[in-house]
Amino acid sequence: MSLFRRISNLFSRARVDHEIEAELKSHIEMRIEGSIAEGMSPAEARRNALLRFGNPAVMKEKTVAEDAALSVENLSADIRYALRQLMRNRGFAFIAILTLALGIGATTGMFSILNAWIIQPLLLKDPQQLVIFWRAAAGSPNEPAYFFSWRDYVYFRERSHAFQSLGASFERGYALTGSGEPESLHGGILSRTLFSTLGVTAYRGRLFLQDDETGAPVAVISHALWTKRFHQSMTVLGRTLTLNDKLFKVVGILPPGFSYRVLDTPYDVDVWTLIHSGDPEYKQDSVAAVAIVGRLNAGATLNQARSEVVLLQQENDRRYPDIPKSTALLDGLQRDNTRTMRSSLIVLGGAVGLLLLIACTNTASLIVGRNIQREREFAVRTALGSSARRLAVQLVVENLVLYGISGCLGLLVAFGSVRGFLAWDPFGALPAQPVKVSVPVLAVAAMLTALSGLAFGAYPAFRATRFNVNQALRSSTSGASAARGKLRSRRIIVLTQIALSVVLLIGASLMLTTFLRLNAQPLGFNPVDTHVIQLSLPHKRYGSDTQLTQFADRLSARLRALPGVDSAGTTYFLRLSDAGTEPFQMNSRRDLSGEHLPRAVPVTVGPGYFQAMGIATVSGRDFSDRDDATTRPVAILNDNAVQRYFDGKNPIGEHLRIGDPKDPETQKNPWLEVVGIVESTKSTRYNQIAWEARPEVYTDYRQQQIHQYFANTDYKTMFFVVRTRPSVALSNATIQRAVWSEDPNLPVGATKSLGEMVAGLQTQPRVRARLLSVFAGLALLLAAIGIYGVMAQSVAQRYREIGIRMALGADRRKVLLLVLKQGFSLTFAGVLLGTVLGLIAVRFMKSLLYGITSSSPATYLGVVAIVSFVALVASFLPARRAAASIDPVRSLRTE
Amino acid sequence: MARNDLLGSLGFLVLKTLSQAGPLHGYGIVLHIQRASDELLRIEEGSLYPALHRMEQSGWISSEWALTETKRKAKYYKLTAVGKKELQEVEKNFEQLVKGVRAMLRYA
Repeated sequence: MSLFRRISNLFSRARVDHEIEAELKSHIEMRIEGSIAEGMSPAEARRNALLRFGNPAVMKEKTVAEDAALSVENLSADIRYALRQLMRNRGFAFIAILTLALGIGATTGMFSILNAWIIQPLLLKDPQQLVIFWRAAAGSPNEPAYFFSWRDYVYFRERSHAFQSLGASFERGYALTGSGEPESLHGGILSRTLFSTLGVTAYRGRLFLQDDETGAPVAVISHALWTKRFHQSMTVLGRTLTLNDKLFKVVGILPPGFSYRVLDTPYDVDVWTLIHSGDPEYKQDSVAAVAIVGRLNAGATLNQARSEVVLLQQENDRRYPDIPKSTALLDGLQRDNTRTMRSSLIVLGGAVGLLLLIACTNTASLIVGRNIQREREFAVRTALGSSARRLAVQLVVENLVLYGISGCLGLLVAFGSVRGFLAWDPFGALPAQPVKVSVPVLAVAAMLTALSGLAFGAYPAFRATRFNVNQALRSSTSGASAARGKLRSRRIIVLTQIALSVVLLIGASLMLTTFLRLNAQPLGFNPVDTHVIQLSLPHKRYGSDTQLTQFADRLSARLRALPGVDSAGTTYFLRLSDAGTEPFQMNSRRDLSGEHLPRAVPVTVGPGYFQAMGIATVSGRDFSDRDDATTRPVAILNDNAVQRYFDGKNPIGEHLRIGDPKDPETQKNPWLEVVGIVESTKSTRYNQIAWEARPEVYTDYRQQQIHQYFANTDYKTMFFVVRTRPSVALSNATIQRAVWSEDPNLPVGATKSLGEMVAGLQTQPRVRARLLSVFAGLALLLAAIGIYGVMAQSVAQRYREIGIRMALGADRRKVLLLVLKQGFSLTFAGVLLGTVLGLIAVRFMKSLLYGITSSSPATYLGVVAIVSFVALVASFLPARRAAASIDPVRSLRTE
Repeated sequence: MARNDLLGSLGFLVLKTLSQAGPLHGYGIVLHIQRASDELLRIEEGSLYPALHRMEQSGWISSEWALTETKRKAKYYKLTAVGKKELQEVEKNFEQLVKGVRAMLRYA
């Protein structure tokens, strides 16, 4: 009660003052009235009243002091004083607050994003129990290379003991037709156990039941699709959807926020259908790819499960001796979701942490500098009776106010940067977990702020308590050598800053070089001025090779006729990453078998493909109209295959057959005559930044029996590559019209250019290069401000010394050098320290580099040159001013 | 004893006055103390106010603006329940102090 009153009094000091004054006045007046009534004259009565009362002003002050709690009152006075100080020194306050707010804000924002990706648990039941299975090449067991097959899933499901249950799924593109515009949906097929393994239950309706495995086809849709396409209408339950020309009854809706992603798919599946027990694609021994997820038994650890499955996979591998050896790679589902961006996130998190450190040290340097300037003020106040403790409290309060304001602004920056990140979406993938400026991150940032506020506030306060008043009063700001020692702490801070910016710049420069090297390398095809259209042709209407090729020929002709189009071609296979190879036989090397067979990526293309892609012919000929189902089947090899398997000998005229001779299916494949060689194209592998050429064997689609691979699936994917003349824009609508005039029931998504596809695969290096460059630029700017500040201050403090030197005959050039020397030594030490730290830091970035080594001398020399240049300019400016403006006479007179 | 010190004799007199005469303004308290002590106790009138405000902050007395008989606005103070208890405590301590001092005086 009383405390509350004291505090409330604080905020209404004026009211309290006024009230007390009224009270005292009424007392004195009553006394005067009383005395007059007793017979005194008014003047006498007044004198008497005041005599009895004592000094009213003193009494009032004493009374007020009783009302307001002294310490609290002082605190508010200190805060007001601090604000006044900041206002007086607007330049200082502005730079300090801006620096800190940006530092704190960027860090909080970045770590909120990191938190959502890496720390925040997935929105699934007990997500830490969920484990994902990948098959990894025996050579690189830490990176997933492929999906397991259905038959592996069946094998693991029957034999593993570490898991409560396993589930399998695979993505499947679905064309939703029958009502409105045809739409492509992200679809998935799954084993019945997947949802129960994930621990998800239906939001409306039901999920899959055992009877569904044998009954009529059913589907479950996502909450997002239910909202977007069906406006949350309950009538969708029981309705029939046409997906890839097949009918599915909708039986349930998944809960909002349900998200199951494998690898780091950036989207969630909209429509799920069940793997039917009679599905020919998923027989017991099917090699159809699936992603396997398991829920660990209570008490089982990931490591136990890992060793169990690795052993199982070794047994499993022995059942199929002809395929390349592989091993199992098990990871937590959460970790799996950040495979490609994890290293970027960590690098960027580290960089932003360094930036915060620089921001903190920059402000510290400013504060220390300002306190040194104010030492005389402190001395005067101490001399006038202010206690050292009082001064210390005031300094701490001043810094806390500064850091408090910066912290609040930093929060705004954090919210802004998170929002900006979500809008920018640099990775092309956002976490399923909401990105929030989270409480723990906020707490850490706030604590960091408060701590640095206290540390940098308390240090000068500590100094203030022990300095010698006499000496401080005597030494003027232009005093000579005494001030030097005081600069030391500031110089150490600036040295640290230079070092940290060197580290950031080295990182940024390596990332930038990596990205530029990646971008500059020839890919073997020309990605500019292209549009890639991906179509899913349903089996029902395109079940035979003739139907497929006739459609492709007709559409290609239509596309070529569009204004501005230069060429158009077709392929069944267009992947710029993770293309799988298949073995092939060479007529001249019939002795090879099993693992020793040559392998190549088989690519089936239509006429005009090489021209549209911009792939050059090295020798021989392109496919032509002479090649069709009635003529002898031909093949074209890429340069890489020739180098690898023909020792550079001319392969034209050689005969090949795709497939392993032991596989009975291979007998159906024709022997192909090599008629040409084309330039090798490059592709990437999952989560690897390097582009490499792989052996490829091209065949003409008119000579291929595609439908045999196609018989078990719903649809066949075809790519149309359109090359326009330079800078001709081809709208999506034009392309859609062209496709729909051939088949109005085909969904046509947005087209991509080859350039966009390439850029999409270079997202990580690009984002790393860009963000790190921005951070490094900021760091350099902050360091420059720091150096400039220190140099300017040191010049100001040596004003008299310089004056004396000039009076004794030193010319301006010598003065300039004298001042610059200090800047040189500071820069040199900082750069040296930074280079050493940088060499240590980049060891962790080795796997993110391409075309450059982590200790590339050119990089280091460049960075050292840049930092030295900036640092020297920052110290040259104050030095030049000193040399130009110091008048020896005046500087000696000022004291 | 300690409490007695803290309150001081002025505070004791004020509490006693308010308990004897009911709500009073500062000037009234001064007059009452003079009258009741047969003009023996005279206080510096101004120093009454810091004491009043301190006691109010401690919750022993409460205040209210009201009109005097002469239609002048003045702040009236009255004892609170806490203040009454405090007064009893102080009185008891004071009695003991007086008894003790008397005993000392008689001892000689």
